[in-house]
Amino acid sequence: MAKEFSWGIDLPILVILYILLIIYIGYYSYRKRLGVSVRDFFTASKTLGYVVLGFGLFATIASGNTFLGYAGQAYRAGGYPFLVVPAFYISILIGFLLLGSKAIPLSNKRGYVTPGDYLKERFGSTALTIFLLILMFWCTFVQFFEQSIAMGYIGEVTSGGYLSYEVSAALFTVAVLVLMLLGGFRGTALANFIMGVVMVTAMLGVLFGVIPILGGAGVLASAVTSGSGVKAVLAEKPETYLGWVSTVLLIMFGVIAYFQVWNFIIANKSLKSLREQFKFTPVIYAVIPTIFVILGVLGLALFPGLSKAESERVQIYLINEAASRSPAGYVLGELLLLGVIAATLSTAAAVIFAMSMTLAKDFYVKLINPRADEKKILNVSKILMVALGIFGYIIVMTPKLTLWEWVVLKFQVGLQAVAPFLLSLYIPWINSRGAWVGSVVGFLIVVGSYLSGITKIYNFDTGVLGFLINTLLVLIVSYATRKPEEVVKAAEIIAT
Amino acid sequence: MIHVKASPGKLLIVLVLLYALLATPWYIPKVVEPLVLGVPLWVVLTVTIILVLGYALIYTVAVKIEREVEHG
Repeated sequence: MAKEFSWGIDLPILVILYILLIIYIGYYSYRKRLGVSVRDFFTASKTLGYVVLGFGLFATIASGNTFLGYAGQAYRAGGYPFLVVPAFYISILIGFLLLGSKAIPLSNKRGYVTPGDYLKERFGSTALTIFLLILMFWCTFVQFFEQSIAMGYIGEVTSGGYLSYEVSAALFTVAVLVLMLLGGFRGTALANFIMGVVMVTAMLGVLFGVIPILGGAGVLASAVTSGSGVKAVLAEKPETYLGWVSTVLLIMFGVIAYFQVWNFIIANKSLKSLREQFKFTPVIYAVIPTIFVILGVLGLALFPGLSKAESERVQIYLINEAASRSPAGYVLGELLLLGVIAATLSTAAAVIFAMSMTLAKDFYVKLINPRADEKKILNVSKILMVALGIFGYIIVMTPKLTLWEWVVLKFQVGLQAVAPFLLSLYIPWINSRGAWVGSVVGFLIVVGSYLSGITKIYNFDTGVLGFLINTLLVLIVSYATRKPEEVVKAAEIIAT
Repeated sequence: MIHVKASPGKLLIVLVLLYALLATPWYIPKVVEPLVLGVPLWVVLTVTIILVLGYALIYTVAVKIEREVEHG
C-alpha cells in the first residue's frame, strides 16, 4: 500500500478558488447587511433560515479535530470501540435543545446578544458574570488554539504539498478575517453553511465511493479476522459504560460553554427554527462520525502497525491510496481534502467571531467602557478579530499537539460555568450565591484532579463529577439562601 | 405523539436521563458474527439505535417544548 501520492496542480488551484469563494461570501454578506448595528453584525438580525443555521452549526462543531483526528483515534482504539462517537455527537443536539429552549425566546424578548447580556441581568453581578465567562472563554479559547494549529497543518497536507505550512495558514487566516470583518455573523454563518454542505457531500463520497474503492465490505469483513488489530468484540465491563456515560454528559453539557454555539442558537428567530433543524441534523450527527470509525477500521486493515504520529495521518493515507487506484478515487479524495479544509476554516471563523464578540460586548463593555455606543463596540470587536487572527498565526508556529487531549481539557473547565448558567435559565430561585459556590467548587475539583493526576474515578470523568457536585451545590445553596424579591425578579427575567 | 403536560425543564431532565441510559447500548451483545456489509451487526444496530434516539427523543421533545413555550 502506498502512503504517499502526488496530487496534480488542480488541487492547490481548487484550494485557492475555495478561499476566494469564502472572501466573496464576506463581500456578499456585507452587501446584504441590514444597517450597522450590534444586533445585525452579531446575529444577522435573526434573518437566517434553519437550513443555513443547521448546516452552519454542524460545520462549526465538526472541526479539523473531527475530520483528521477521529479516524486516527479510531485506528488507535482498534476501530469499533470508537463507535461511541455517534452517541457523543447526538448528545450535542441535546445540548443545543437545553440551551435553545430558553435562550431563543429570552433573546427575542429581552434582546440578549451575548451570554454576558443574560448572565449580568439574571444574577446582577458583574464579578460572577466575568468569572463564568472566563470559564466559558477557556473552553472556546482551546478550540481556537486547536484550529490555529490545524490551519497550517491541514493547509500543507490538503494542498498536496504545493503550499507550505506557513503560507497556507496565512492564506486561511486572511480569508477568515475578510469574511468576518465584512460579513459579520451573516457572512460567517453563510460560509459555514456552504462548508457544512461540502463536508457532508465529501463524507457521502467517502461512504459510497472511497470505501468501496478501497475494498469495501470484503476488506472490512476480513479485517476482523486478519489480526490487523481490529477489535470487533467489546469487553462488557460496567466501568466501560460508566466512562461512556460520563463522556456523553461531558460533551452534551460542555458544548453549551462554546460562545459560537450560543451565537448560532440565538440566531434562530424562534424555537420552530431550532426544531426544524432536528429534522435533518440527527442523521448527519450520527452517520458522519460513524464513517470515521469505518475509516479507522479500513486503516487498520490496509496500513497495520502505524505509530501514534503516523496514525494521525491514516485518513490521508487512505485518500492517497484511493486516488492512486482510480480517477473516481482521485476526485472524491480531492473533495474530502476540501471537506477537511472546510471543517477547519468553518470552526476557526465561528470561534474567532464569537470570541471577539464576547470580548467586545461582555469584557470590554462591562469592565472597561460601559458607555460604549454600538459603533464603538463593533470597532472594538473588529480590532479583536484581527488581533486574534494574528495571535492564531503565531500559534501556528508552535509545536503540534495530539488533538484529542484538548477536547477533554476544554470541556471540563467550561462545564463548571454551564451548571449555574443552565439552572438559572429554568429555575427562578437559583441565585448568585449558589452560582458562586457551585462554580468555584467545580472549578477547584477540575484543577485538583489535574494536579493530582486523578482524572477518572471508576472510569468516570472527574470533570463531570465536578459538574454534578457543582449542580448540586448551586441548587442547595440557592434554595437555602433564596429571597422572595430576588425570586420574583428572576421569574420575570426568565419567563418566556 | 404522546401528550404529556410537563414543563420544558422536566421534559429536558427526562431527555438527558433517557439518552444517557440508552445511547451507550449495554443491552446489545457485542460479538463478531453476523456481519452486515462486512461490519458486525451490533455496530449497525448501535448506530441505528442512536439515530432513532436522535429523532424519537430529541425531535419529539423539541416539538413538545415549542408548543409549551410558544402556545402556552
